[in-house]
Amino acid sequence: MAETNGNRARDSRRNFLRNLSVAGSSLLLAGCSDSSSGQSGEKIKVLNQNQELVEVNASDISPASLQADKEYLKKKGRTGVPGRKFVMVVNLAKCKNARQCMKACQGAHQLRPEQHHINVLEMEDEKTKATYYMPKPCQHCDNPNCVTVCPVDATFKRSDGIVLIDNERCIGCRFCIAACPYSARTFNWIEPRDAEKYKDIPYDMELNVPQKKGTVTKCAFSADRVREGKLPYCVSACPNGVYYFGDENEDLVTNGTTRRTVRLSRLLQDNAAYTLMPELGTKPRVYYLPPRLS
Amino acid sequence: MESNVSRRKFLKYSAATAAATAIGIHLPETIQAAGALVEASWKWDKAVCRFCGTGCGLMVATRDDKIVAVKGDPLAPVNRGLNCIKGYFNAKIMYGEDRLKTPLLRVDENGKFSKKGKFKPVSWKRAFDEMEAQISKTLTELGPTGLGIFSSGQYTIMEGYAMVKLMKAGFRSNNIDPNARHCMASAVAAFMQTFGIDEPSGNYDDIEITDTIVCWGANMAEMHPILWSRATDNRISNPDRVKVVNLSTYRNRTSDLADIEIIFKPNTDLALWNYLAHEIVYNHPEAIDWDFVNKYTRFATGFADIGYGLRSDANHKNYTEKEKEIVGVELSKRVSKAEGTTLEYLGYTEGDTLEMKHNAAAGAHWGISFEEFKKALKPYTLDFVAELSKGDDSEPLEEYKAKLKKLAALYVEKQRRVVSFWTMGMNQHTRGTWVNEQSYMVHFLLGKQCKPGSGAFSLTGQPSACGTAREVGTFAHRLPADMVVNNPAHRKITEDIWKLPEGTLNPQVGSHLMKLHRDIEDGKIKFAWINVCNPYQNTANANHWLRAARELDNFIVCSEVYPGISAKVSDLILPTAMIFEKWGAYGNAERRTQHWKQQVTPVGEAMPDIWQYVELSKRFKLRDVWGPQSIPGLEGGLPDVLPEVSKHGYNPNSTLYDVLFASDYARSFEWPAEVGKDTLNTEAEGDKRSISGADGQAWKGYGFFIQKYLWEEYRLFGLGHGHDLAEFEAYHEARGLRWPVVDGKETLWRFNAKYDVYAQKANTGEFAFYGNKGKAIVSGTLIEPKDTMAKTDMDNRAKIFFRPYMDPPEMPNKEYPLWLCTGRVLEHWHSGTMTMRVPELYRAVPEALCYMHPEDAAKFGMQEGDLIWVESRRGKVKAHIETRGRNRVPQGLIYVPWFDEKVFINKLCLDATCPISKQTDFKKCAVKIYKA
Amino acid sequence: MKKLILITIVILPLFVAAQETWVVPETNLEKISPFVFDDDLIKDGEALYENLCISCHGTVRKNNPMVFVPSPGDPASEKFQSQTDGSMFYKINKGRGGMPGFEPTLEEEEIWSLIGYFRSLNKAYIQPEFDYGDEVLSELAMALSYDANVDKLVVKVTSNGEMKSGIKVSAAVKGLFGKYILENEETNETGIAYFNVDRKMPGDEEGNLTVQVRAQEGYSIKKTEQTMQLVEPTVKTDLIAGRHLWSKALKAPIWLIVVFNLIVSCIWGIIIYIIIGLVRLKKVS
Repeated sequence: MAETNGNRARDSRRNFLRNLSVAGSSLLLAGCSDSSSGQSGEKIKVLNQNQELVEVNASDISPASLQADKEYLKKKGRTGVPGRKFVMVVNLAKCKNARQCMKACQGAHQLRPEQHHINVLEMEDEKTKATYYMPKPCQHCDNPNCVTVCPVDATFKRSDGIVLIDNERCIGCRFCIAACPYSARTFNWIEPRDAEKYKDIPYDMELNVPQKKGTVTKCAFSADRVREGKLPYCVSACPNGVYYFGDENEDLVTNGTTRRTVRLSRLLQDNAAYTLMPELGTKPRVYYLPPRLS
Repeated sequence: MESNVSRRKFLKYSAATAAATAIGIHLPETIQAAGALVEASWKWDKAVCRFCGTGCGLMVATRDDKIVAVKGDPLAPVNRGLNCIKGYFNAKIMYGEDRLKTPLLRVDENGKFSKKGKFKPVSWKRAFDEMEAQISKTLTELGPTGLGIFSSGQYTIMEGYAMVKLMKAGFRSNNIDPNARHCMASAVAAFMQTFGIDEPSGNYDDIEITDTIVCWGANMAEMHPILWSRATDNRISNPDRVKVVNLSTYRNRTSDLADIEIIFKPNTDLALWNYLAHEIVYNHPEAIDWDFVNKYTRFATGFADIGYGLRSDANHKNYTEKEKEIVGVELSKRVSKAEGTTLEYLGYTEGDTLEMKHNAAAGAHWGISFEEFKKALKPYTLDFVAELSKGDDSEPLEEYKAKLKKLAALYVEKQRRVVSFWTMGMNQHTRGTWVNEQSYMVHFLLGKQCKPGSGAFSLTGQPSACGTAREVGTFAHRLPADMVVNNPAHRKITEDIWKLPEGTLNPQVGSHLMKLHRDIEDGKIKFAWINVCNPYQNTANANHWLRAARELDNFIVCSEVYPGISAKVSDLILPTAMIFEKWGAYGNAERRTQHWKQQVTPVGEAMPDIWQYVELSKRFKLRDVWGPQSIPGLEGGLPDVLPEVSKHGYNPNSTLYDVLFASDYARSFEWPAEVGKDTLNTEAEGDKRSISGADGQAWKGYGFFIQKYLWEEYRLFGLGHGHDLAEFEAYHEARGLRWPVVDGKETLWRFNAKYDVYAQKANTGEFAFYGNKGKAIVSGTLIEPKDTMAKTDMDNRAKIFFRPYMDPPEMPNKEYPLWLCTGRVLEHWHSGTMTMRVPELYRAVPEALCYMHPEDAAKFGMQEGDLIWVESRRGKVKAHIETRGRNRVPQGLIYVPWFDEKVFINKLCLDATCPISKQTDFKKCAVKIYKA
Repeated sequence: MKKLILITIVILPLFVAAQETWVVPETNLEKISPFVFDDDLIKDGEALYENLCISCHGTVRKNNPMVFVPSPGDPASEKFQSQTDGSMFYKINKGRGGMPGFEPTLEEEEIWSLIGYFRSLNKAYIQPEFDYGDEVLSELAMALSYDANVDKLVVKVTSNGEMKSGIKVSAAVKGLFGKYILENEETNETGIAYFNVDRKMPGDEEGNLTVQVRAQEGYSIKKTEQTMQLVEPTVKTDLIAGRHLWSKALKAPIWLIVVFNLIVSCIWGIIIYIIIGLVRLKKVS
């Protein structure tokens, strides 16, 4: 009797374990499977704009406006521009506090005047007591404190160097604002500017529009613009030739005002470029060329 | 006793004692005693220096199978106990840290040969298997002309002889050419054209006897230091009588001793010699030794439109656009202002197009009259030549003219003995043969040749360019003892001595060194073996050849001792025994042949060159190589000589080893032999390492004295033909002997009946240029030969050539404003593979610098120590600037030595050669510089 | 004193007005375009405008330029269109104050394309005919290659099939945001222009760079773009390689997922076990 009982007990235990392993492995598989794997379905012939007849999966055909497709926007936001490493160089010798960069940025990103993605500060040199103006965007650090502290993976570092915020995930805990040593982030305490006007626009995290109340927002190196090969808003708006922006992988940066392209390594070497607070180990992607102190 | 003082101190004491004794310095007795104690366990033996053509004698000491000390040999007549800085390190060059110790083959992951593979150690057997397979493949695909040997002026006479036999008799290929082609070919061509026989007429005794030492483009102070010390001794001991002149394109250490220093523009040595001749003929006709000239010489000249030794196809697919800016001169060029004057005698004026019609017949020459000779010299007045040749812009013209006049006066002075020395300045020249001939022209006119203390003396650069390359004939066109492959009588003599069937030897001249590289680039040669040289570092326009080695389908074997550039681009590296690890012999610049014995066992698995060649010969049967062979350009190809082999006692299945190296005659030279008592001999008896050899078996020796056999068989060529050498044993008693050695006596001054047995025998009076015995040449005008004229009789005469001045193919222009001259420095030998491994020499000169005039540096916005790019049309390298170094160059010229792999200057040099001698001009090309 | 104030009041606005007017030298006013303002040219101009100018000059016809003093102006506006072509060319070339001079960055035909675009906004505009004189437009052809011996880009230009010296050639490396100009050269006697390439510049994995080369002889222009191997192959490092924690679950390594799930299931298992034990206890009691 005891034997059969024992057997049954053993059997039931075995069953239980088996079920558990099945459940566990199915969870595992679910976790590992790539939800975006394409399904092979029927194919359709279409004529493309080059007058060529091509075959495409019926499931891949979607309406022309990608910008309306939320899945597309989310995916492109998370995946960076492949093969790029964006870098900005700010020439402090040229900054005259025109603040056109701030204006263009705030205009494009639905920001109130007191909210800054980029801020032009008046700095005073320690030794000579001379003042100069220093624009301070998000430094898009290679070792970002903000990304480390975010509990929900709302802010993340992309392979192209840009640190973005997904405001659909952001829970507004503001740990990242506390963590950022450059005070680059700002919070939407109240409804964002012109919230009505932006209501129906699908959320693009690269442009970070529409802003959401209760989330964090910051400079994104105009990820939407650079994806298309255009310079960021601040870089293009500057009238004084302060900003250079480019791809470290190409070793080329372009000046936003004159549009001259120069070698990044030479520019940094010849002008004794520096970064802000390098001792913190954040490895920022924004370089500063020394100001003229006189 | 040894425990009282440290071991190193003892070694130092003994070495110091020995060296000091050699020079004659007295040392304290304690040190002498300490030295003597340690030396008790040492074995001293005489040997020869590994480096330059001076051929100093050394004493080397061995203990426990390692060389522990080197000193100058006090009994050697050449150096009398002195060595230069390189000579003292003859032992240390053998024990560098990265000495190659095993054969290395490029293999893929499966162990099969692959050109893209990495080097992995393999056994000797595997190495030879691969070589055999590749040679067979190449023979099938391309025939004997598909093989190539980069031979050397630095291998021993026996090694060179073994390779010549293997290549020419065995594989029937003439594609064997030495690095001496880059060194002495112009001198050789001039010897042959002038004297009909190779090698200088004088010897080193001239240095002490002469009153005037003139160095033409030769930095003797750094390049032949011991000879220079003898010259210095003569000059300092006799300051009133002896004068030294240094003619160079830049100030160097030789200038320190010179009474007159003449800085001339590159290539204008052609004009300077003609100026001297002009002075003699027009202004000092009384200085002409008419007895000598009329009885023993004839005037001659040749063509000027002979190209520059570049590829004949100026649109070759591998030429870049930049190179094409220059290479057209091979076909035609614009006559420059200077040439408008110097080539006027041929009917050209400035601006004409000079079509190069006689490139293939560059060496053709014919006899002319004295009147024509005099007429051709007319333009070379002092004014014209001074204007053309003054090299230093800061020097006033009048001062320069005064120097030229003084030089001419020295030559002309009746009772003054004059020796002209030259090395690479005159040889590495696109008209090198011409310049060499011009030196004889002046000395002949004055009757100052072949006499004690008087003569034009071509100094040899390499230790055995004379002894091995030239005398043994390791050239594409030569056979031993000055014979040539395209002469049927010469081939017959050779076939008789080598016991070959008639018709074995290939009558078509093979590819010279530059052509070997070009053929590899064109896929015409697919198997090459590098022997004792570094052709991928020493050849101009290196980018082409490096690419050919690495990217094309071929197989390159390199017998090397250290991983130099050639080893790195090869496919198979064979570790080779160095100088004192084998029996050997060298022949130096004064025709002195010197032998040495094996002192130590080779390092690692390194094996001697002779063993490598002989072992390869075992892999091929007569059947494989002596059947009919097609030779491109030779109608009918090579005949099938297999039916004849039985006459000599072989059959088609005999190996090349049986026929060439292990005949009964060869085996008659027994080992052990008296002369080799208590001496190692890896080839004859094996050595303590018992290396697993080419057949996978432990190496136990051939069983006979193969080195003596090779020597004695080689001797047969020269005996009785003006190249007599003594028996093997004689060289182990004497400190070398100057050939011809007739009845045990050396010949000091050749062609002079008082000193030369052969000249005596000719019975033509005081002199006899027996190289031209019984010959006659066509006669002609200055412009061309004429069959209608009576032939010029050359019996026992030499030729006085008229040669004009011509521009070099590439001269500085706006884009490339500087001359680039290359050369060596005292501390390093050639490509530095050996001397860069000696810590002391490396510390002395760790890198090749770009010597530049400080004002040139300032003009380009640079200064001393800056790192710059030096760029020509063919390549670019980085180097540091030196404006205050040992070489003070004039404005408009820079000098870069070539010993440094990191400053690979041959990428920039132009592969233009003298069309007659095929020797590359490393001294002139145009470059630009800019900051790195 | 009063006079001084009066004078100042009168003169000051004149100064200000003077600031407004941008004086163009006489000779430049007359310049007209050798290029026909066809649709292609206008399209190029539009693309350039959107890339370079729109940030300050605003969208055309919307009259919303940046607020500067003096105002950049809308290209479609009356004031803008009233100037001559040459005047527009001069101003774009030279720049003034906040307006950069585009002479170093833009080629002649690119500036004319901008002007062509502006003029396309003005229905009343008729392009003046350009007098080519004796100038015959030649047919230019270009072939690009690389000289690895001396690290140079070799541009061989033929004009009507012949080699010619003196043809202006400029080469630039295409970057994402702009082109990095290598040099401006002229062809030599063999019709070849050489450009130094810094071998250390980063390229792609094969060492390719995209070069844009432009040859100009008189009024004939030929442009070409080619991707060729000019530099050492570059290995691009991934900035976020190895960052697993807090990135997308899809990118998480398997070991992390397994361990995590295992631990969570273990903890749940322990909790369930305890609860079952407690329940059993309760049943027993």
